[in-house]
Amino acid sequence: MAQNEAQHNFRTTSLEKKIVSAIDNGIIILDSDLVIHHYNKWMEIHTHIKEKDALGKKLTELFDTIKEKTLLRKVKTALRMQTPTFYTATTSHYLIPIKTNQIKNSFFSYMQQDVSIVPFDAQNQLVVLILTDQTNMANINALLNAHVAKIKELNEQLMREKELTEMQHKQLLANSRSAAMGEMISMIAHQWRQPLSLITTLLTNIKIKKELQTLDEANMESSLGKIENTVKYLSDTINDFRDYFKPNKVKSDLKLSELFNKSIFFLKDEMNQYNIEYTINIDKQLSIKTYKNELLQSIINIIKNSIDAFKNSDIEDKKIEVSIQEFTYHISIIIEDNAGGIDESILEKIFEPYFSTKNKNGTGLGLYMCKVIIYEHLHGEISITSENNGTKVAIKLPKKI
Amino acid sequence: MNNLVLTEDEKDVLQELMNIAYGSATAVVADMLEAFASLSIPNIKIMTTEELFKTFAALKNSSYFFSTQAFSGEFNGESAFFINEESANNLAKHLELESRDDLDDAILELTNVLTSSLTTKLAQEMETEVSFSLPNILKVPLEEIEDVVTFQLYSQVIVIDTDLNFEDQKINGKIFILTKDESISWLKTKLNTILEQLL
Repeated sequence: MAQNEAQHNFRTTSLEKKIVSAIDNGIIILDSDLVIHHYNKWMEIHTHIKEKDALGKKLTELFDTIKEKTLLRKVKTALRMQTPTFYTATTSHYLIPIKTNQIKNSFFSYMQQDVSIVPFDAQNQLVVLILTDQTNMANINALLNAHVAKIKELNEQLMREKELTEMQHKQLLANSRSAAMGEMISMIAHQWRQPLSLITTLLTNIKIKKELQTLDEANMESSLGKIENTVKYLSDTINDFRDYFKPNKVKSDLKLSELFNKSIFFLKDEMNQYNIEYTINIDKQLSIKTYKNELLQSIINIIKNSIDAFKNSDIEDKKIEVSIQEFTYHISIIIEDNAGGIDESILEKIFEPYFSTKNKNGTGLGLYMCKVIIYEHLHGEISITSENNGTKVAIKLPKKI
Repeated sequence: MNNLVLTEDEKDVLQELMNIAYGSATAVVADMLEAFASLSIPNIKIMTTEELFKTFAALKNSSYFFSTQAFSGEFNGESAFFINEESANNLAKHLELESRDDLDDAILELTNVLTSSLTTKLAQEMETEVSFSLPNILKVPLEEIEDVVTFQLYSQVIVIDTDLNFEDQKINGKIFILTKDESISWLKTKLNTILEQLL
């Protein structure tokens, strides 16, 4: 019986010893003065120090990088509390300096270790230090952190660029507003030329008649009446323009035929000047709910582009045709001209801001603004195609936004 | 859900057990820091994860270090320890630490001491054993803590709120013991056994 027990004890001891040498962890037994009582195979191999040379020495003697005060504190705490204390690889990196020479673990030249200090023998005040190699994990963490830092940096860069783009966009909008204002003034000038010359003529007539002393009451009445009407017309024009170029925030029901009549009204003088024939094919009752002035601004811009294209051409029968088709949920506006068409290479860039073919007369913002308005404000689509010496602008708008 | 709420009696017993556990923790912390330390009587609350987030939110005002440590066994879960920057700096000064890593290490040690002394003693009283994983410092800014999905693992939380006081320096910390429902129902059974023995 006693023999059996001894045998059993021997077997267990030898088994445990074998496990301790076979295990893939560093195992050191220390007393409360940090003197080494056991040093396993793993430790021998990794530190190139034999157990026989380590036994009886203080751990801090073998490795002078260890902070004695901290280690003592941890050992004492473990013994005092009879629960493990730790060093973690993430904060302490390593306790025992073991050089690593691995390609895959490029971040660390020393093995990163988790160390558990486990109370082992309360009577003799012994603790066992268990070292676990965490270099792979630490390396992956370091890699991850490096990537995260990189992503953060890229993200910040992206945000800065986004801010810049937004600022530029705002600037563009401001620029396009002043450009629209300029266009408006030039259109008013066009509209006013004829009535102003009418007034001048009437006034000249009155003067001449007065000098010739042929001015009678009826003459005077009729001339003043005409002048008054014309001045009223001038004032109406201003009101119209001001109304239509104020961006309005309210959606309203809009008869499309009225919208096109309005755009014609603003542009008819110029069209007459260049002999441009204008046909419009719209169901008189067709209406949609949208932002009136924004749409008008876009339509005027597109028709104005067609007019400008005709200015430099000697085409015989100049034509601008507008047709509108109605679908269940949307309408499709087609504006076509025969002013020569657009080159394919230009077509690609036509919606880009500051792109213009009109040299110094163009701001390059017209079609860009049309696109912004139609997509962002009116929730529609716009496309431009060119064939057979003509240009076709197609605008798709929802019936209700 | 209701059977996971602690009754007044159960709470009393738990508070009593925690006081005992805390007593031993105080001595160990004092030993570790080689200074006379006192721990205020812990304030124990059981709250839902949602309420816990609110408590975290209240901490956002100042800068905190946040560390966690898992414990396993019949009674298992995780402890979360908060120590504010000022306290951490006091701790660093007291232990004459040189670097940020040393400070992290000291905070982890404090976490470990508090977690293990608390849970070991609690486990002892309830005749079970616990084992501890390595603690770690969670480097998540507090304002992002709600995004740490693992918190969703816990529905109820035992919160132990305490002050650590030193003779000359003030070190203040909050420790939260997070447990899952099954551990809470295990805890309730154990607390009731103790209650019956008392009666």
